[in-house]
Amino acid sequence: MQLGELEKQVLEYLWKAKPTDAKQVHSYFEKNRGGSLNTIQSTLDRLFKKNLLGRVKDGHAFQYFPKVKRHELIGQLIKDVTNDFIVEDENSVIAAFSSISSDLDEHQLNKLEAMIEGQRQKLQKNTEK
Amino acid sequence: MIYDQWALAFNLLTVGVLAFVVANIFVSSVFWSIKGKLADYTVSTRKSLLWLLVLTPWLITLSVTLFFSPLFQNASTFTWLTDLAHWHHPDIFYFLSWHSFSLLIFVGFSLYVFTKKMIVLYHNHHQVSLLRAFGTEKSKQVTIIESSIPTAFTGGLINPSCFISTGLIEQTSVDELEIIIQHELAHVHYSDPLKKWLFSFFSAYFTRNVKHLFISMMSLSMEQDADSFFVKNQQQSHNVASTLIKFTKLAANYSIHPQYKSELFVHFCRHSIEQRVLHLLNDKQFKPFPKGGVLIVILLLALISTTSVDSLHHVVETLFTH
Repeated sequence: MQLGELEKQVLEYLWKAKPTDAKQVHSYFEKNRGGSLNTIQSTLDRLFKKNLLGRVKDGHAFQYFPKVKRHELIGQLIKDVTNDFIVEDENSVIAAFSSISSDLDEHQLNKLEAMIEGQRQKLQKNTEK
Repeated sequence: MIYDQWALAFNLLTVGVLAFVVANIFVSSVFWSIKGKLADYTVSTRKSLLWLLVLTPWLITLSVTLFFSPLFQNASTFTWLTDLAHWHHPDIFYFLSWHSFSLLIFVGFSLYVFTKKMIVLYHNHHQVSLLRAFGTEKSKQVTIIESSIPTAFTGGLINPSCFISTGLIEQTSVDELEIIIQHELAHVHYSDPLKKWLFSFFSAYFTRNVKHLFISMMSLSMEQDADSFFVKNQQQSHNVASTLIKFTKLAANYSIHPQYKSELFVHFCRHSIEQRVLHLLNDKQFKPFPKGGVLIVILLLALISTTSVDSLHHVVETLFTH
């Protein structure tokens, strides 16, 4: 799924606003960046087709609302994109500082931490000599 | 049944497939027997050796196919070898034969692997594009993403960039964050996402166990290389190691992949983090690139693959009909 600049702005606007129709979205963007009602309508339609917006009919117009919250969408994207780090034979396309889902033994990590501290002190003593 | 040039081309492709299978088995056996010794080499040597291992079956395939082509089969210099390794009726190709069957299996498998990898690439490209769209550009190669999940990774194949979450920024000091950003920038510098993707493509031709070990070793080597990318002294090594431990502890509280909390995964991760910390603290002397050994193995493999093609041909045709 790719998002154009206007699509991103409309989504950002809808995350802050209540469910709204194309005219209201257009009146907001008309002041800030210009553009026709048609452009806004097709942008909303594209976002709906991308499953990012939901809509309910209210009279003759659709009321649009975000289907996912901002942090949920970003969280899901992070989860998807880092998934390959764990399913290491499949989607090896990113390089992460450390696995997000590390469920390491606390004791093991403390042992490594103590080892680093020990080496640090040894280095300090050697520098002081 | 077809004749002449097309038949020759198809027969050469079949030769290539047979050579590939022989080389693949040989490489897998060599790798399995030396896997424990790879840790004695520097990270860059280990990476080169892993690349060499996954690419060797392709290089052998190319050279054996060339050798079986009329270009070499007619040359008088190679008479002793062409007596040993030759292809019967190269100008006739039967579609209803094991030749075409083995060729079809190889092409089918290659198409399957390629499609699978392209789908992964497509999904990843869009996920990374979306993250870029919702993020804030800190610099040309660093994007800040608004999320409480403490994370840092490098994504994007053609134009890689680093992603750092606000959750991570809030929970780490300025120095620790700088270490993490430098680590990620090292991945950008080495084009690691693209290399990882290519490596996983070539590894896909090996058996499950070998493939997993290849990918785990390459991932670990890439991380170790990025860990020590900007490390100039022992003090910096200690700082990177403690940042790694702190980050792992932080990330452990935000486990977002519960389905992978298996025993195997925990061990893989523990092994990986331990290896990285020990590598940073270690000041042992690593072995240089084993040029002689590699050359001997490649020459031996080339000879075995070349001669095996004809023997394999005879074995198959003895056991089955043409």
